[in-house]
Amino acid sequence: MKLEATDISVRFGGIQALDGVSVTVTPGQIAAVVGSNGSGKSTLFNAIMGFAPIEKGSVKLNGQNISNLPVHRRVQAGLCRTFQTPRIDPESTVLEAVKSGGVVSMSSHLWDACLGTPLGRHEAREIEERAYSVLEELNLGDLASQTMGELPMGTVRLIDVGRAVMGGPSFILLDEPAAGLSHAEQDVLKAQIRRLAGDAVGVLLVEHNFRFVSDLSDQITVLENGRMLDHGTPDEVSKRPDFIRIYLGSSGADTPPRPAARQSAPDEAPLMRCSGLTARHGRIQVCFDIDLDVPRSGVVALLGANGAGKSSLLGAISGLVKSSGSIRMEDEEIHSLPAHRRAEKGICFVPEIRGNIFPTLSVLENLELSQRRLSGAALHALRDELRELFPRLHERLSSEARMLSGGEQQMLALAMALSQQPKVLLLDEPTQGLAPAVYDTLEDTIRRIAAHGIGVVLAEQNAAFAARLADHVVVLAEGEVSLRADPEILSDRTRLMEAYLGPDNSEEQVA
Amino acid sequence: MSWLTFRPTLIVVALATVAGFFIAGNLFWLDTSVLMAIYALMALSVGVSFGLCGILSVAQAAFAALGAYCTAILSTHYGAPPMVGLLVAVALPAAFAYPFARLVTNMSHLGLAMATLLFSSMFDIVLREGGDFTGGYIGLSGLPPLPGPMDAGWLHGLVWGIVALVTLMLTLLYASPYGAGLKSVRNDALRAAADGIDVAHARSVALSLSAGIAGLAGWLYAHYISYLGPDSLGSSMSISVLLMAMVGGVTTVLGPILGAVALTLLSTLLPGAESAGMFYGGALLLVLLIAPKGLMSLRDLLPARSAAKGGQR
Amino acid sequence: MEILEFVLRGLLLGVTYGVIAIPISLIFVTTGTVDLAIGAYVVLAAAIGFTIGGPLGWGLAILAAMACASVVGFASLLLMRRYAGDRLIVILASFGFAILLESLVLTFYGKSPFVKMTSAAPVDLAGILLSRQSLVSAAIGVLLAGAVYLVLYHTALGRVMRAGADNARGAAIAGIAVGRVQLLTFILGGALAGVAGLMLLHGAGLMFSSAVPLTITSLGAAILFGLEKPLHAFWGGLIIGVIEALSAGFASSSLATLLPLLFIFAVLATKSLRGTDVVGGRV
Repeated sequence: MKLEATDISVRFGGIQALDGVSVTVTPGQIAAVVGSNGSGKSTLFNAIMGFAPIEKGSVKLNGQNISNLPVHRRVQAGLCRTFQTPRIDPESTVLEAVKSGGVVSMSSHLWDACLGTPLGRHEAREIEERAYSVLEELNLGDLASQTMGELPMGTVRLIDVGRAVMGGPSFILLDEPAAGLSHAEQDVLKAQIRRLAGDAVGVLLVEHNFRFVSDLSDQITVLENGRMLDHGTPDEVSKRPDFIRIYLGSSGADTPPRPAARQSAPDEAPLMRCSGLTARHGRIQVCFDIDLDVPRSGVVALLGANGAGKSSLLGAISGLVKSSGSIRMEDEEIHSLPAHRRAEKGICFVPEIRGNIFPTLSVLENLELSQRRLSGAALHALRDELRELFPRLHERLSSEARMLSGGEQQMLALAMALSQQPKVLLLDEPTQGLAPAVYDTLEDTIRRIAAHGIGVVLAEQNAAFAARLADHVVVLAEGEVSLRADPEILSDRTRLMEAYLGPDNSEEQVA
Repeated sequence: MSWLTFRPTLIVVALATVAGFFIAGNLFWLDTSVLMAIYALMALSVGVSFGLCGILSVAQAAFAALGAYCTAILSTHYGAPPMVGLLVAVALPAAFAYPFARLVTNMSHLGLAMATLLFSSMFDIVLREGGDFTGGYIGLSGLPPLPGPMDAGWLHGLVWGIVALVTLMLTLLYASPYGAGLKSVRNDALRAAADGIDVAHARSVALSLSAGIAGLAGWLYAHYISYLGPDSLGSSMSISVLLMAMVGGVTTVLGPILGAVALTLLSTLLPGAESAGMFYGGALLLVLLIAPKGLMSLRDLLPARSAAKGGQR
Repeated sequence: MEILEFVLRGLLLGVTYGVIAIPISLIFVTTGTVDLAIGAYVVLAAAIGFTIGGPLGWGLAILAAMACASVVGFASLLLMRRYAGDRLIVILASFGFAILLESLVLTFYGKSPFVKMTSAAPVDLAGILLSRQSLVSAAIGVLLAGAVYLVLYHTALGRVMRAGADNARGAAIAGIAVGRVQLLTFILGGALAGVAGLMLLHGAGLMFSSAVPLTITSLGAAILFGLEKPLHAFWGGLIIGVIEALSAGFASSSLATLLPLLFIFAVLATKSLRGTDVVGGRV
């Protein structure tokens, strides 16, 4: 009795999403997969469940090869999963949602339902009773008749776990079940997962919250760029330098942080001041009451683990993510303005994976598009400035943006951002997907941008890269600021690791 | 199973009885009422395919025509009694719809809608070019009447009785876990697959059931009118019943019936048949913009209902 | 020789389908939805051109088509914003508008076909007789396709349209009013449909009930080479025109109308079997 995924490789077009990854789960065991964004965790789930085609390798359930079965047959064989973003019908009731998970175990047919045969009615009653007891176990009994759309995301995630349990699986795959859960809810979830394991269900979980993972799991697999990097018990894994490197994202050249240079005078008013910013994605609150000052010509590094709320905070500042709080730009309140008006006030956002460029347009078209409001001398000045900052782009004006290398695309993204003549530049993970070889150029460019009097907020998983540029460091954990410090902190791994993990809320610390 | 399960059926029976009492003896209104019931059946078939399972089928009248032509051909060419025709009229569309759906359910929603539209157009051509077998452009006439006395009041009772039976069947289906499974296929096929539901099969079964109901409506239509031509149940009828179901509220059991009643009443008040489309199309646009769940969502405005909302839905 | 004649006639017919297919694809690319009322704009334009006639009629016809398209475009954007992600509702709304327009045309212009033939002598092209009007229509169609290409790839407007289609979020970041561009695409589609209506009016002719078949054919043309490539839709139109002309020439009359539909059905089915997402939508 076990679930074995052996030597799994998955390829999407030209991208090797998984390369020879193996995971084994036995009944009653809790196994976890950790890794940074894009490391292939979700792809692994999809491959095991049949949502993504496997290029190489096999998935075996109790010794039987299920690699070629469609999703529903795998579920019928005893696998099931939850989704990172729960896929729910906001209008169905909690009871209905949980009941849907029980459909897999039914033997009655359409006509049993239509004609109300004894078999159909018996099964319907059975499923309803089971759904109530599952909800009871999750402390959600009172919510049975609520509609899903009215519930907070944490509760919805718990219900999703209940839905998965309904089918009576022998192996359950949980995709970030703890994201957005309150500490009380996390405890309920932990208890439920332990109970499942106690009932000899094998649990495989993907989770960013390392405390949650290490509390629960018997073994951890670490993925990086689609490959297995490490495997072991939580204690073993968390002590290995590789893990710390991945968790703190210090891939690439490991340079010491630059000394805090050119600190702006303490009495100088910041260029932009955010206070009490609280951001939400739909019903998930992702940032809580965050204060952030951005000085003129300063680089503020925004660090934190995956899912800590860095991107959401940038989104909230730029106006693309709903938020409450205050944003003052040069003493003018701009929080009430929509995104494009904030852009006019000088906030420019470069989303991760260079999300502001237009892949099928040429480099020249991309630039012209972002410069379309400028003319005359201003345009000339800007073009000269860009030519000096990005000489490489100038050689590739007629290429389609998607044909550029990752580094060139990042340059284009920056050039387009500068074309909007920002006062504050919000950079989300500029190093993501780039070869360390281009870090130097990128570092140099960002430094020169800051030297033009622009305030830069640099959200990075890659702490080592941030260390090269930062004037101030702000670390986020679970949507809250866990550390504010000078860049020297970046050489203190232990303190940084603590800040990444966020406040410890495990039982012994409650007082 | 509480009495609430029977509420929609009881509502249909009660309203049909009351209406029958009022219009007894008035041939025009009895005729309208019978046609209304037939449209209601077809609208219910839209409720199953689109409302329950998310297949936007623009071929419901073609399924009805398939059933209607079966019984018409059997009775005019082979002298079969209507009750034999009934079996074939329900079974053949249902049996045809399943493999048809298996062929096309991999498509996205728009692809599916287009496939049904194409099927409807092609079926229309086949009917017109079918020669003596289908009666070609002239159609088939002289069909035997529906079983029972040739009395308008009886026919009113018969067709609405059938509507009530189908309503009961669908209420049971909607309330069952099987129905919940179909609903999740509509909302999110990926999620449904993760629940262990064979999405292609579930969709095909739903379309098959829906085609069977449409075939039943076609059977009633053929024997009630006693004539059947290629325009009787053409693509404009497919569109009309789709609009009826949408206007009434496609995700509820009673919505399609309500829509059929409302739009049929509306069209009897219109000056001419030409302008019906304007009102139907206009009604659809208005409903989508104002109350996307159709007229049935207006019940939430009832104070008792909104208080009890969430308890039973 | 006979084949050549049918192919040529098919191409002349297909140009019109191509002109209608281009906006179907353009709208899909920029908004992710499909305007099923486009065939109805064609019919409306033809009806207006038929009753008023002359340049005034042509102008009014195209304006009317654009006005209708802007109504549908506006409603579509509204519905898209309100029911984020549920494109079926948007598609259904455009379908409802198509029914409304069809009935409007029927009520005001009746069931008789809209067609205007001139008595100008046909052109003899190596033994194949072609009407002058069809040649003029074809020329206009090709010019229009060329104009769409120029607008898309050589004007600021086209750049903004492509940018919005490429990366809507990026467009919002760059301060582009994406909604306005999308509405403009709908209206442009209306204009193209209006011209197509006038082309048909002075060619094969059409009637109130042609709206849905025209939409089906043009949607088929747009899907043939991939819905996400507007200019390929034009070639798709040509191919479907040729298939229609060939089946009209060689198949029995009952098959002739069926074959093009079967062809489109086959295209749909094979595309979905190959796993490519035929026309967007979830899963």
